[in-house]
Amino acid sequence: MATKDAPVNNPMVDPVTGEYRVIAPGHSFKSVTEEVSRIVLTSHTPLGWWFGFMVAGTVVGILTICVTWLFLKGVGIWAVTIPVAWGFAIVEFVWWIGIGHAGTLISAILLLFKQGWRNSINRFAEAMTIFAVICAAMFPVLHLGRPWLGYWLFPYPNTMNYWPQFRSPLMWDVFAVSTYGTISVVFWYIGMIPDLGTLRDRSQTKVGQFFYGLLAVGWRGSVRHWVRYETSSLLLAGLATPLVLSVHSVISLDFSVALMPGWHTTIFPPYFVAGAIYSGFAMVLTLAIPIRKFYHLEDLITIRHIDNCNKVMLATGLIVAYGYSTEVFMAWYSASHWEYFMMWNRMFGPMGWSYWTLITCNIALPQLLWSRKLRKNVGFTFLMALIINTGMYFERFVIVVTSLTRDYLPSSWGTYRATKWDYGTFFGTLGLFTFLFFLFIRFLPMIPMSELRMMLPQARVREKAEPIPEAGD
Amino acid sequence: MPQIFDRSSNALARMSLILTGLIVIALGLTLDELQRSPWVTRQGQRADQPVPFSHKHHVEGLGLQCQYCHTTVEKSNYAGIPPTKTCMNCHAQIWTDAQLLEPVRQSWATGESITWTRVHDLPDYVFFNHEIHVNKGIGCSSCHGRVDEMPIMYMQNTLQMEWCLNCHRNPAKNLRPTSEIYNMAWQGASELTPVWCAAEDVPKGSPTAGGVTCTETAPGGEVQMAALSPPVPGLHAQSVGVQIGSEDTGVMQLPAGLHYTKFTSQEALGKFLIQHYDIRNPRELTSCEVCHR
Repeated sequence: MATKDAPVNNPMVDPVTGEYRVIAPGHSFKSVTEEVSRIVLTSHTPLGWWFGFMVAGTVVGILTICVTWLFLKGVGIWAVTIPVAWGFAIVEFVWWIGIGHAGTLISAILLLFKQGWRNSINRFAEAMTIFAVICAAMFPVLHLGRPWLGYWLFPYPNTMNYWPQFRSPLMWDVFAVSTYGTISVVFWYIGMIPDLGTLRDRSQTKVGQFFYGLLAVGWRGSVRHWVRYETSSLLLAGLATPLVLSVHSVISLDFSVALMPGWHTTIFPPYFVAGAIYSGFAMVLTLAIPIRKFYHLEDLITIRHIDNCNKVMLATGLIVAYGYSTEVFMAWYSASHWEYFMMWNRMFGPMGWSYWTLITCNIALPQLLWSRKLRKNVGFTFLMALIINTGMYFERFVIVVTSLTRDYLPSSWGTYRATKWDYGTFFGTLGLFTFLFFLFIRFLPMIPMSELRMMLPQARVREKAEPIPEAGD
Repeated sequence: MPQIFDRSSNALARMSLILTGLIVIALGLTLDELQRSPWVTRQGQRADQPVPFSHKHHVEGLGLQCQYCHTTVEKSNYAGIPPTKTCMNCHAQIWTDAQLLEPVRQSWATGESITWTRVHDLPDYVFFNHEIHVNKGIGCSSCHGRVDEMPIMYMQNTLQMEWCLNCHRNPAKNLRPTSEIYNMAWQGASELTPVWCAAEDVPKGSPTAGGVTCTETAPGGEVQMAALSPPVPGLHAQSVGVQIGSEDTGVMQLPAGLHYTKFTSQEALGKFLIQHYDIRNPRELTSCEVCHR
């Protein structure tokens, strides 16, 4: 991913390759460690952190109220009814789980492809994955109607002598999401162990030493430890790589298995996966840009990262655009009355505004990313990330809601108007996500120090030892 | 600087790994046991009743028929709890001063029903029909146990879904001739307690079970030993030419008059009754809407 148009006198550009550097020049092992660990080990929590934490905490309170009321009253407080039996809850489930995919892509696939630049952003991208999976996993359970029986989803020996329906994609979801959550947490934690050891060693307080010491599980940085660390990272990356493709494929089958125009299509798995990575990278940028600004981490999360993320978004955005155009093409080519009407209804029906919002946010505006100049513009990138996140939300809204409002039988057509509880739950999960993220950046190293140290020029192993000048020569 | 963690932490860390696994397993086993325990199912518990009515005394001691009180068991999904009038049929004459029967006389005088505590209480989302079970060869004692030996009524079985399905998946092991439905001591067919059954065509519309005649004492007519098609090894039934259980069975071609088959195993009897009582196959019997309408 070379970017060779930068002025040569810019210190951020490597004069040899002409690329933007992954780490700003002049950093040593010590300075990298200090820059990351000071955020966690400081005794002075910044006021801005407290402010954001409080705001997010308030929104979590709203979520708690919404969920409590839901448990007391049932799903009737939401707008879901016949014909739109899947509303915001499923939209948000798919949206959140999609966002998580970028973290796994960065941590697993880019590790296997030896993309060194991933090292600076993989830790918080993985954290983003875990928090997104937490938010996503809530929704199917809340949507159950009888959430206290949610454990029925799992196959366990029970007094009813019945298994769940293994032929249902909703059942596959349970395995896909729980496997995904487990692997993500394990990968995240294993990758953090060397850094937790560093924090334990640098911590000045007894509580910190104990807390980080406990989490570091006796990490001493010996060669044997490193060998095991590297082996397990590779193994977990190998395990997580298929998940990047499989999890959202399985979720897309929830729709494509159903005989519903707008859902019943084979393009869904690849186009859902591309959409997931698309929205995930948008969320990585949404988080990275404010954090690097607030904590002055421009040296470690550089323009190189922003540019690379933008390129991934551009590529996956084009795959998604291909998916949309295939849907339109197939609606015409199938010569199916129902498919044709579904597409017409999406574009020009009463909810056509959502389709055009989606096309604008996901296809039209992101074409600006072809411009090198704009890809390196931090403000523009942030704005674009927000636009793409909105667009991806509307994609799921169009698929779930617009398809359902007008199905085969005109007499059963209906509409969908989300209630305040729908909105409250949605914004509530945004708050929960932010809340967890604030806790993460305060208490855990959000940039992997050990991996960044390996990126420094000092860490490079010389192939040949320099000849030792012998005395007398 | 002293170490933060003592040397013993290594052992503790390893132990905690094993312990976590053990705790998870123990928790699972505990929940599994708990869910099937009488504490949850109320199996075997003697509920407090306004009158300590003894089925043992009335059935075993006095020989009352089940249907004397549970009048609708053969024609309704509800077996029926007798009105106070049924009690008073006798207790207007005997034990008229008994202290135990005071609530019964009270109810008789005021017209207020006796508020029994229901012992066999299925959840409201379960549709259970006594009529179909009783008329297709499931006896009282198959579900309720030896009621004639219960001084105070209790649940013999858990009434959990797995218990229902155990029979719906394989009804043969519990089927008996309809003439034995109210026989509390029924043990099933065996070498020691053989059963002779004969089937004849019944006109359409009449009860399916009506075409089957069974007896526990050897009948005078021709007797064939029961055979399964194909013969199942280990079954206590011998093939003597006539095939029971396949389409054009020999039974149909036999000369007129009752032609009995001797059954010396419950499985062979069950299969015979499944065929002649027109009992649906397990696939249909375990379909959700059979019990959840």
